[in-house]
Amino acid sequence: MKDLNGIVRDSLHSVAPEVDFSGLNRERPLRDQVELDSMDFLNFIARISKETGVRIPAAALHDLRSLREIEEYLRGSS
Amino acid sequence: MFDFRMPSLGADMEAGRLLEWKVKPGDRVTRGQVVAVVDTDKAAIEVEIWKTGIVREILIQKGEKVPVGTVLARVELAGEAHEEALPEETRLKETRPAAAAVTGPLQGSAGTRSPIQKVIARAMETSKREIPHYYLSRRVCIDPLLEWIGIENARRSVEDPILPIAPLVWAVARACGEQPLMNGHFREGEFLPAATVNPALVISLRSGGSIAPALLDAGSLTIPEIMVRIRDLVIRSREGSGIRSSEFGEGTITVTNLMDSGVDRVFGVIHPPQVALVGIGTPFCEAFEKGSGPCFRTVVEVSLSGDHRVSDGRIGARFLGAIDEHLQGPGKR
Repeated sequence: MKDLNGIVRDSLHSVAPEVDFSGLNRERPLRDQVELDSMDFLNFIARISKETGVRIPAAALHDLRSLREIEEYLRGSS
Repeated sequence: MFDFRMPSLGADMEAGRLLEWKVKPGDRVTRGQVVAVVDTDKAAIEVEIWKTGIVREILIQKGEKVPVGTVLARVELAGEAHEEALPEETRLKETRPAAAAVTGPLQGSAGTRSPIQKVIARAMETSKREIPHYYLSRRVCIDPLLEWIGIENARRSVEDPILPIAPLVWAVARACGEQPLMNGHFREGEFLPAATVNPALVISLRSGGSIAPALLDAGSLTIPEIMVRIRDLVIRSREGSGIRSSEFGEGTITVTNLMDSGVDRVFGVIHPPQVALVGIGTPFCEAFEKGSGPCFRTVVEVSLSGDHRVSDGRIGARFLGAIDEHLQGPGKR
């Protein structure tokens, strides 16, 4: 699998190009730190799913809040 | 010979800049085909042609800015031409312009007002000056909707999930089909009901401001189909590219969705020449009495801004009631 951190960063930039990725707190919910509506957030996760090849069920959206949760989910599925 | 002209992509548009030709002299064009990309103050719009024929002459070159109505190209018509609308599927197959070509007009830095914001400001001024608004709101229980989404999403992936906005837009479209006085245009002192329901969805842009392209013929679509189309509209709007002229000019009612924004209720401003706007607030949990004790349910405030020249509170109340009724059984019809 490609560099996970890079995929997550590029996917986030595809919906929110202005975000300083390295300045984000990995533990806190992403949507508390970046202005993303539910459609942006969905497109962000869908992009990650496409780039990594990991199928992410729609029901998992609620559990993927912080960058840490997202990366742990991807590691567990790869 | 048919003159293909700079279209008016909104009441406020005076001129447009030709960003890109998708055709050249000698090319055959069919009705519904995207032939040019035009930069208005709002966004880059893909302009369709509603005739079939062969492009004979290009009169306005890439980069030129010309007034609405200016002849852009001459097209030799092939047989009988009709101006009826095409099914949306045909439009979606067309290619989209490169986003890079259209980032300019959308950029507005903090402190300055972008062209989009100025256009919206003008439309809203006209609305508040000319339209006698009335406002109604109704709390709608969305537990059946959420339960239905839960069942659907259990077998869907993040590629094709359903978000609550899709059944809400679906219910508004259904209610519009039953209440023609909410769905249409008020022009020159007269209301003309629209033949199809094309809800314009307010989509906020990261660069500031918002645009409201229409979801064409939503009355004929299922909830999953509406979800796909909303997602497509949001992506194309936020990329600042690929909104079609037909999507810009043909909204018949507006839906503004503040479900993510933490507000209880929307008091919306109607987008002229439309006559109604439906606002959706942020869902919340409330207690209600059922039998012997309190129960809880999830509700959302669905509001209506109506044009009192066309409808009134009684009609508006029935319209909100119809939306509520449809939301109690999403997906059944």
